[in-house]
Amino acid sequence: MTKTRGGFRDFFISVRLTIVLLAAIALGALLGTIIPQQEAAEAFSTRLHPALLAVFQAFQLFNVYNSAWFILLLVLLAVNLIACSVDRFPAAWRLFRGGAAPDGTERLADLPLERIVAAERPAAEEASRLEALLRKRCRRVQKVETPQGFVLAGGKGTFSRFGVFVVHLGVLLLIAGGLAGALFGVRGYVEIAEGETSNTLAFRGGKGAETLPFAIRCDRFTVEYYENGAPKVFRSDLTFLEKGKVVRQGALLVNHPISFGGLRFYQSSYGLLPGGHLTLSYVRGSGKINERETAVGDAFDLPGAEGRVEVLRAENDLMRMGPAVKLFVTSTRGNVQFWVFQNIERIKDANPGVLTQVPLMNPALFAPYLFSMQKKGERFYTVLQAARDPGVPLVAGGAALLVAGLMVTFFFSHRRFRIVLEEEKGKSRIGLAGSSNRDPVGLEKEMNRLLAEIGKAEGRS
Amino acid sequence: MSDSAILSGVTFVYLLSFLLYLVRMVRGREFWGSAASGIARIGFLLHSATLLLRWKSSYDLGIGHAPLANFYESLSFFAWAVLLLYLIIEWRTRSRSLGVFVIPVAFLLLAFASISPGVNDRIQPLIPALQSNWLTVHVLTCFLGYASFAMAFALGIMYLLKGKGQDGGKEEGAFSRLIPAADAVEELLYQSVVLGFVLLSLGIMTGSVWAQYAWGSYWSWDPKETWSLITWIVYAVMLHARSVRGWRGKRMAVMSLIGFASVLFTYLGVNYLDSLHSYF
Repeated sequence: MTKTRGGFRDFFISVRLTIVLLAAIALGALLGTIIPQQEAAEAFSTRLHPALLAVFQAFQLFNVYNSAWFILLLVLLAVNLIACSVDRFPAAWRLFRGGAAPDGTERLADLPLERIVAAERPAAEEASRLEALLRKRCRRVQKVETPQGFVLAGGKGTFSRFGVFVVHLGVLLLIAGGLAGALFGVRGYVEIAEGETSNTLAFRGGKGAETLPFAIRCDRFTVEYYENGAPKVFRSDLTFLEKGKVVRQGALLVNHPISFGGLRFYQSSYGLLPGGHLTLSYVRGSGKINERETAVGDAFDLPGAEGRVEVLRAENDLMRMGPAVKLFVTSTRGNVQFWVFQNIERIKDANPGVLTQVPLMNPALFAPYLFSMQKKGERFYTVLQAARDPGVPLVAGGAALLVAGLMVTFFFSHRRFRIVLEEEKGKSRIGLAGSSNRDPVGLEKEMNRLLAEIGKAEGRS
Repeated sequence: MSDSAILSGVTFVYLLSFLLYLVRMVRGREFWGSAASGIARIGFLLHSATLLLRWKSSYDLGIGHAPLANFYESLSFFAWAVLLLYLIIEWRTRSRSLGVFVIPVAFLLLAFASISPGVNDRIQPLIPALQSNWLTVHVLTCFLGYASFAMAFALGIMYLLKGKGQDGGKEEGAFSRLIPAADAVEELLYQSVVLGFVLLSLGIMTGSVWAQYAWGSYWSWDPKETWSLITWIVYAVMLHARSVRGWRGKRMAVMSLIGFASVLFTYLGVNYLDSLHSYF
């Protein structure tokens, strides 16, 4: 660190830069969680003052995670990581190869008394015994002769100093994998009606489409529910066809993707096709049930001119509770609007009291009439998500390195020991010093054990 | 007796334990400490029993899954992990001083689970996206990590109080005297952050693997994902500042508070943003 370096290099090897970059990335990520992003931003942006909107757009705040500045921060972090690692690696490597040899100036007088034991034999004999003792723990032991006796040095766990490089390599691979996925990855949707075949992959965000070299048929789509109304299974039975021939068949479920033709397919969503016909039934008190085939815009008078019903909307799957129609009833008693759900019985069972809490869902809101609806002869369509992401292997490798590196860095430590022997009148005094790059408690314990072994062998007083 | 009824009881056991730890700190008598610690252990055993009972009940209902599948279950597991780590630390360090700072965290988590009307304590079946073994590993690693950060948070408060007790120049009060030496607190704080950081990294990683299977994308900048990254960065900065720039003592204690605030926002605050993780 004493060499003078160019300002540019100094700038990139500083950990202060790392900390500033990490803080900036965290702040940018935070902005993305409070400002609506991409599709969600449209409604929000109309409420902004035009000047503010211009600022938001200039800084790409509606697409933070793909914005030029966010990617620039990631790239700068990568450069910073590489620079830091290149700068620090040689020192770690030297430590690993040679260890720091004792220079012979270590003296017993510098050590605390509780780290010193006395031995009966001369220093040379004790030194060879202790060298063997130290070698049991340390990969490399060095011995230096001093005017007073000997100094032995040994280290263990040097490899833990490489953990940090492994972690940083992992982070680099994660960034590289993420960028590779963003640049070369493909992500889109294939929408197929039951019984039909499709070979069109529509890219996400409405950015065009691709014709696949194979076709997919949806033989059947199934949705099953638990008793409480929560969905249990979404399942598409698919057939993959090449030139009209069946190549593969399989069931696609959530959490069980299918790989085919270089793409991975995921069960993404589903829906009911328009079509089929809508039947609205209504009954006055305990009277006769009237049934009527209907559609949005249909309007009719209730018997006895008690009111006029208009069908405002029809939904295939309203709030994930199945088909529903919205009715508007005008009468001399006032006007009401409410939804009529096909699955009203199941909704009531799953949410007791819902009809009083949410009158908008009560099919009997226009008393004494009770409405119900049914869809007949309808078909599902399934939506498959398809993805090809060349960054995934890099990301997986990066994550594995990151975790392995963290374990090595944090659960091991580089401990160095020095044994100082000084001879006095044919006997010797032995002192132990130690240092560690982390975990002082662990070092303390190991030094106590080592000191016990040093004193235990022979002739201690 | 249902597991959630027992768990409400455990909430009060933890409250009692906290009060006894508090009496120990004020009166300075170890008798109250051993009582507090005994009560905490009983609470922990009962708490473990509720987890097992709930696990078994879910199989009896025919929707068997580990009790780590909704917000209520995550609160309970979080509190359990806090107790687990605390009891290990108490046993290893032979010091009961951390109890008065940690047990209230577990108590508040359980109180929230039992009392808040928005928290559904029923055993729910797994919707398709949650039907994955990665769910268990992901929740396990994340919440053990959160619990380690809770430990660091408590140690940070303890460190700052100790510093305050010594600053006055007067004789240390009983409360502050019972807090172990600042060095020991700091080392434990650092180790808790390290453990939490490794577990959080594993948690994010297992979550990504799962997302890759379920949603076809290992990372989608969902608010909870993003906030877990922010939390990860806060602790990464803390660890770098310590090892490279030599931050110690008060700065580390303050960072542990900032970090835990970020953990809490990741866990609870994000629910006010629109998220894939709405089940937790």
